[in-house]
Amino acid sequence: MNILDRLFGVVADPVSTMQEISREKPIGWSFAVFSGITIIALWVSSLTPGETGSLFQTRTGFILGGLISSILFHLFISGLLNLLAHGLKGAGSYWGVFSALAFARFPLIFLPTGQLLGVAIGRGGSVLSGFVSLAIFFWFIVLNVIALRESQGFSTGKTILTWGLALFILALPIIFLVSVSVLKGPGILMP
Amino acid sequence: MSRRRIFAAVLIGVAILSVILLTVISDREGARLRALERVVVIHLQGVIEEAGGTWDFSGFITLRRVARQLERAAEDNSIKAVVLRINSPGGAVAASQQIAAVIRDFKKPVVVSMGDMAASGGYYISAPADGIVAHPGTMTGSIGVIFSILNMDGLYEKLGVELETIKSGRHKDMFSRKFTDEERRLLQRISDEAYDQFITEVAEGRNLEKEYVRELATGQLYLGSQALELGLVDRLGGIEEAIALAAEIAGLEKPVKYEFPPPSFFEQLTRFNAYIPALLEKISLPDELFLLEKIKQYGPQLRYQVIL
Repeated sequence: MNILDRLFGVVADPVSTMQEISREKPIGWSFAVFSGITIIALWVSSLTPGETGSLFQTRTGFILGGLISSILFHLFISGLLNLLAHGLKGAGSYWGVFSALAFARFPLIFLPTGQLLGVAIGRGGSVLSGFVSLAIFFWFIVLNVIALRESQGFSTGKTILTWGLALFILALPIIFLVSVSVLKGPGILMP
Repeated sequence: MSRRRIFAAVLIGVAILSVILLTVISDREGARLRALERVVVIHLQGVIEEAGGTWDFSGFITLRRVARQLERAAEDNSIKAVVLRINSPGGAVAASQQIAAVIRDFKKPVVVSMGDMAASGGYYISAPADGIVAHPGTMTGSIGVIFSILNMDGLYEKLGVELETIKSGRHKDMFSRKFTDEERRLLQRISDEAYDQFITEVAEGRNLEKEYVRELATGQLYLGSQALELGLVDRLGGIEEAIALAAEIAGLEKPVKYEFPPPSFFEQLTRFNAYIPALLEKISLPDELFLLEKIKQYGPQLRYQVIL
């Protein structure tokens, strides 16, 4: 299947497209789609006509740092989801999950268009672009669920449970640090 | 090419076109903002310390943080003047001096807007500014030095810990036992020297006679209204008044108030790792030992600080 066919499929027929992607595991195209969309998202978020903060002095540094950390995170979350899915009797593979989740990011490519709509409308435009962004984000979440479900070949319920467990595991360090700080007193944050 | 492919290509094309248009619009907006005469307000709140972590919630005023903020103000051509909103009871002597030096050497006009308290070290770092604005009820002044050392005898006895010392150098163990009369004189001399440095900084920063400052430097607090009469501040008012004074000094016609955007959540998170060792130490040590460790770090301290 051609890359354009796959991208069209993600929009028009996500279930069978995600099945095909999970089966074929187009790793190179997955990296390309993931990187392209991440670069666009980072580029747009770096356009604030003020500053991007002291850690990322330049736009290039911001985008490069963001891209590398996003790829590393994607590699990690794919492994974590696959591991948890196997615990729930899923039958997917690491690269299958990786590829499907990479293509599930495709709707994020419409975020700049949503923002542009808001700018074009002017007054009240930020509310519209907010709604558009929210809708795109919701679409993105739904595609993530479909991607994992089709790559593992199990139910929607198990997919949501897998995602929930993964998010809980990701939040554990923060929950741990916050609870220790609360239990042991706020002074700990002032060494 | 099939319709599906054409449709996908159009979607990608629209997205890329949107990015290009957004970039053009953003650059134009950036150029408009750069043409403004901005006065940046930088908030400095807490005790002045040499190091206090880089996390923005750590609650200290440090050289690193002040220097970084001023550096940002220096690099941004749209920023014509700086207002430092200071709320501090002071703190470490050397840290106060380093921060004062950075403010003194800053090329753009700097005006201090005092909050609830800008006393002792808080006043020390205010003195070299081009102007000082305080609220009538601001607590300021407290020009003086305090040298404190914890006497740990009682705590050691309670914990059943005995300290044995082998020393080379007559005074090397002076902080782990009671002072001799000679040592008290030595420390008094150090305190007097730091006191003199404080008076010099205030006299030079405020264009006042050293003897006059010495008369005021009893360590007492002054209200903003009293400080105005004494020449320790220039005007009474809040941040807006400070911005007006900064604009006057910089010769700005239409000053626009500006604040740096806060660090992103991601950036805050990456800085949090600096606190993990302290956190692990607190978790792993029993409370008494943790307290002892903390107190042991509390060595002899020479401070420009209002001690409560």
